[in-house]
Order: sequence, then C-alpha cells, then structure tokens
Amino acid sequence: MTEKGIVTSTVERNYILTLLERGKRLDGRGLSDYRPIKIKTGIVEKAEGSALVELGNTKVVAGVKLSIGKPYDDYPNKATLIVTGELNPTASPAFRNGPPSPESIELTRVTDRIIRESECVDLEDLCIIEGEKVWTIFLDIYPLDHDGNLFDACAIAAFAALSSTKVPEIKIDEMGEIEKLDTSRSIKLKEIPVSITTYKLGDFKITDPSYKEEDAGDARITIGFTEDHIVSAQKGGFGAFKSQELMDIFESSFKRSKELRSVIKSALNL
Amino acid sequence: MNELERLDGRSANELRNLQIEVGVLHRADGSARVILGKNEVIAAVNGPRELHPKHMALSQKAIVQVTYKMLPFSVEYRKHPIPSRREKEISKVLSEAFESIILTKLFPRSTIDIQVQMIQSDGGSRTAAAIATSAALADAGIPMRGLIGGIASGLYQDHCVLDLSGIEDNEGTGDCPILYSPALDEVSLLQLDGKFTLDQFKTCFNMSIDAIKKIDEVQRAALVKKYDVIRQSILGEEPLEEDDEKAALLTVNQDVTDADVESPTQSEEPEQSSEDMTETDVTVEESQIDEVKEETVDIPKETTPVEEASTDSSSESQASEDTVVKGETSINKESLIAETLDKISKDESPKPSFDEKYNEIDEALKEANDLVTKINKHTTEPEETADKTQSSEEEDRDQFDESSVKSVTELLYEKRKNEQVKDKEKPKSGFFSSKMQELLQNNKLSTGDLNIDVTKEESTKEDEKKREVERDLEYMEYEE
Repeated sequence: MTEKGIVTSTVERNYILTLLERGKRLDGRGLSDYRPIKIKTGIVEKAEGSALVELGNTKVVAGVKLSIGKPYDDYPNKATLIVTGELNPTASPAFRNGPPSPESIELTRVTDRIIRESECVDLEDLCIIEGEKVWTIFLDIYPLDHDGNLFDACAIAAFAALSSTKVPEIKIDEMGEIEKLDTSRSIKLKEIPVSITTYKLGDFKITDPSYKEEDAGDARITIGFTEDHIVSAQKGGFGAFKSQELMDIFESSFKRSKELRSVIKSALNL
Repeated sequence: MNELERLDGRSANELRNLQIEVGVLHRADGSARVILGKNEVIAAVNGPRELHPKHMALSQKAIVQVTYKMLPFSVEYRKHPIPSRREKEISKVLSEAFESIILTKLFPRSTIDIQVQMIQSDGGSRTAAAIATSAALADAGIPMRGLIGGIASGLYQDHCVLDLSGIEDNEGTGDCPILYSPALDEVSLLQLDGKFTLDQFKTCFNMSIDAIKKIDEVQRAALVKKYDVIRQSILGEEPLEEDDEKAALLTVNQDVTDADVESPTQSEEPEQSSEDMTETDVTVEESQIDEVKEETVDIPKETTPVEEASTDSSSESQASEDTVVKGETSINKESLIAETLDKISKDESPKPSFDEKYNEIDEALKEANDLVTKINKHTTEPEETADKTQSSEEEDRDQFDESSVKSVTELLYEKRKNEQVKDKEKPKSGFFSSKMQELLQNNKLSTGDLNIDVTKEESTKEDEKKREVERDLEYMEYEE
C-alpha cells in the first residue's frame, strides 16, 4: 500500500536491499518471518462480535453487527455478509477523510473475498426463514495504526471478529413475528482462512512487510488460503512478477499459511 | 471426474472468438476495440498530457489512470452509471498493471489517461479490457516495454478451463484472471477467487500463459494491420505502387500469420485449441491471408496474363523481355524488397519506430514511382521498347534522386497533382500523358519489370474490390 506523500528515499531503499542481501530486515527479522501477532476479541460490548489485532505495530479493529434482512434471490437459504472498511487518517497521515479511496476499496474487497470465498462462516446456519428472513452480517474493518501489511492484519481481524460473534437466539411466533431472545450462540465456523502477503523488493521476496518495506517495494501479492485450497489472490503495486517467481511464492506461501493458521488457532482458542 | 461439457461446446483450453482492431476512434490519441466472445470493449488513450488536479502530479514520472467503466446496458440488469466498488478496484489494479509496463519516467508531471468502456460484458471482461488497453496504448505510440495480454481461467465442473463465459463464471467454483507480458515474462496482474488446489492453480496459470502468448500475436497482427491500411490509403490511388508495397507487407503478414496459425498451435496443443486458434486468427486476418494466397499464385505466372492483356504485341513484348537487359533493374528491386522485408521481419518490436516506417514508405514510393513511369511508357507501345538507350535510365535515376529528398507528404502531393494532370490529358492520348508518349517515342525505356507489374495491377484491382466488400461486411457485422 504505497501512499503518496510519504516517500522512502533511494538511500533507504538501497539500505534495505543491502540488508536483504545479508538475509536481514530493518527490524532484524528473517525474510519470511512474521511479526508477533496479538489478537483480542470481544473488545466492544455493543457489537455482536469484535476483535483488535496487532501485527507488530500495525493495529486493526474489526466489528460485527447483525440484523435481520432478506436473502439474495440466488441464495435463498444463506445469510448475507457485507464487508466494508475505511482508511482514516488515524492510521496514517497519508489517508484522507472523504469518499473511499481506491486503496481502501481494494483493501476491503480483498478482505471480503478471502472471508467469502473461504466459506469460513456457515451461512446456511444463519438462515431464519428460507427465502424470506436471514441474518445479515455487517463486518466493518478499521485500521488504527499502519505499519505495513494491512491486508493480512485485516484478514486476521475480520476472522477473529467473526469467530467471537454471538448470534441471538430467536423465537418465531404464530403471526410470523421474530423475537430476539436474551440467550445467544456462537457462529458456526467451517474454515480458518489465512492471508499471506509477499512483497517483491529488487530480487527479494519478503513476507509481512513493514511500512518502509512496502513503500520501497515493487510489487505485492496477497494470497488467501484455507486448509487445502487457494481461495483468493490479488496482485498490486507498480511492478510485476516473473511467472516462475509467482509459482514459488504460491508454494512457499501455502506452507507458511499452515504455520500462521496454527498461531491464529491457538490465539483464538479454536 | 465427469467429462467436461462446456455450454458453447468449447474444449477446456479453447478461447472464445477474439477480434482486435486498433485505431477505431477518431478523436482519441490511441484506441482499440476488442471482441472476446460476447464481450465488447473499447479503450481510448489520451496523453501524455497535463494533469489536473495538479497536486496529483509526480515530479519523477507520469501517472497512469485507467478508468474501467461498464455501460448501464452492458449487463443483464441495468447497471447504475455511478462507478461501483468493483469498477473502482478494477480501475486501480489495471492502472498499476499498466504502470509496470509503460515508461512513465519519460513524461514527468503528466498523466496518461485510459478510458475503458464495456459495451457488453460476459465473463472475463477485465482481461478483455486489458487487451484493448494494451493495443490502444501501442496505437497511441506510448513507449512501453512490451505488450500486455490477459485471460481468465477457472474451475468449471471441477475442470480447469480457459476463458470462462459469464454463465460459466457464475456456475463455476473459481475464477483467476491474469495479465501477462510474453515478451518480458512478467505477470502484471493476478486475481483469484474460488477454491483452487495448488495443482489446479498451476494448471490454470500455465493454461492462461499459453493462451496469452497467442493473444499477443493477435494483438501484434492487429497493430500491423493498421499500418497496412495506412500504407494502402497512402499508396492506394496508384495500384502498381501499392502492389509493390503490398507485396512487401504481405510477406511480412504471411510470416506473422504463419507464426500465428501453425507453429505454436501445432507444436503445443494437439487437438482442439489449434482449431480454435486458427479460427480466431483467420477472423482477424482473413483478408490478409486471402491477399497472400492470391499474391503467391500470381507471382510465378508473371508472363501469362500479359499475353491475354496485350494480345497484339504479346509475342514481341515477350521476345523483348527475353532479350532486353532485365537484370539490373529487377535485381535491384528484388534486393531492395528483400532488404526491407528482412528489416521488417527481423524487427520484433510490436510497433516499428516512426523513422523506419517512413523510410520504408519513402523507399517504396520511390521504387513504385520508378516502375509506374516505366510501365506507363511501355504498355502503350511495347514494340518500340526493343531498342532503348541508357541515357533515359540515367535521367530517371536523377529524377528519383531528387524525389528521395522530399518527404512523404510532398511525394503524395506531387503524385496527386500528376494524376490530375494525367486525368486531364487522358482524352488526348487515350490512356497516357503526351509527355510519356514523347519519352516512349524516343525509345528511352527498358522493359524491366513491365510484365510482372501489369499482371499485378490487375490482381490489385480485384483485391481492392474484395477488400472493400470485406470491409463493408465487417462493418455490417459490427453494426449488428
């Protein structure tokens, strides 16, 4: 997510490249190491589900609100899921208020894609009356602090918020009116999606880039994985990948996703 | 696993009908129209030009702004004209993809704007948009490191299939559009959604790359074709000139088509796709291929049509052809053509530089002028050609040396002027100007390539008519 206005100088880029040649990065990590991940769920009482995710200095908060709505015509027995988000100046001075920028649209659409295509939420379980009433899940993602790799942080936050979501039990009376009860149940999860972002910097590939590394980087690829499948991918940035490079990245990311999944799993007690 | 049955009967790695046409818009700096199955997209390039608002300008390089837009009537339900989030995302990723290939540092503080409009959309629209954008950028003369082609592949009925149609995309379980530059081996965009295993992804990826290599050839052919049309329009009024030009160009096209049709398909894909690709290529270059065929047929029987044409003097003219020094001029001409051909066919860049183009046209014009004058002199009274003098040739050469200094436009202007004069003089001399007849009477000419060119003249006229009909047909199809 290269933002105009905050520029990494050529000297800095060269320094980063020199470090990479020695197998090191600015914060001392290895090329494919992730920063420590902290996940807190249930941080917002009023929301049905919420999570705060820290990936190094990057912070993202996500919340879930539920309401009862109509299903889509082509999926009458499935709940609807709407993922949105904003990039506000809270996270970085490069972000502006006002209508959503292409960057924020891309970020939320990519996050939406990994959540939706991984089918991690059992949407059929959230159907109330087939063809008429289903739960509508509003998932909103707000980055608070931007130190690189918002794509992965947002994906983790989105999933964590969903995993902590409590769905109110409901009662349908004879008139067909729906009444929410005080009790609630957890949302049913089928998969744990993991997003792996790789940046190309010169001839080097680094995962979980920091802000500086992103700014100095040439091209980005974010890949979403479930246990056995690739469910989403998005290339970004002004550079390009060689075809063989991409193949290697897909393979190594697939392996890496398994490690990350176990980290997320243990953090969420799943 | 079940047998794959695609709705339109295609095989797994078969493309839909692909047509590319460049220079379709009059006002834009560059433009292209792409038809991919039911997709129809028009791309218009404007720029490099001043950027507003100015705070967006970069002091080091130009910015590239692709605006992908689906017209409200392009899909089943009316699409609201306000840009959707999907359109904005596609615009962003396309901008980035093309920024990776355009030499933006040549135009600091400016913008290159590309408007891509989906006239009709039916699956794989962003890749069709990218094909159009790439061709339009080349058409606009924007310096690029290479061309970008794109195609989507995905999962349909648990099979990896290429180029999903709209319905297949909806029913399928995975979609993966890829933009790729064969010349650079660079993937400038990859998006994916669905459920792919790693192996399925690899299959789809490789299938797309192979297809894009073919698309690239179609793109190049479309760009070459534009210049073919320009050449014809420049040289069109003088069929003989055009003919020489065309002979040169057609052989180039033949090379291209050969490469298109035969080498990649036969070697790589055994069955279906080869058929398919041949078809697509044929649709793109049908007219050219026809021309090529006729040309190759005509050239060997140089003399025969002349016999028919000039029945009176056939024996004499043939005799003269045998006796008269045919060598120098024809060899020169052939070698010249061969040289230019070599230049063109060796040139792998999608768009030869301006200078080269003009030089080629200049040379061809000179040659053609030479021939025209000679032939005009001869066809009237070929009997007299038997005894000719060297001096006239020298005179001719002098004339051409002079003209070689002049620019193409000047030459054109002169040519038109000459023709007007010729037209005026027609009633007097029947067919040729009095000046020519004077020259002829002085016996200052060599037969040279006379016979060849007369036959060619006839075939070109036929070609011209055919081409016109074809163009009309194409246009009608487009209108429909």
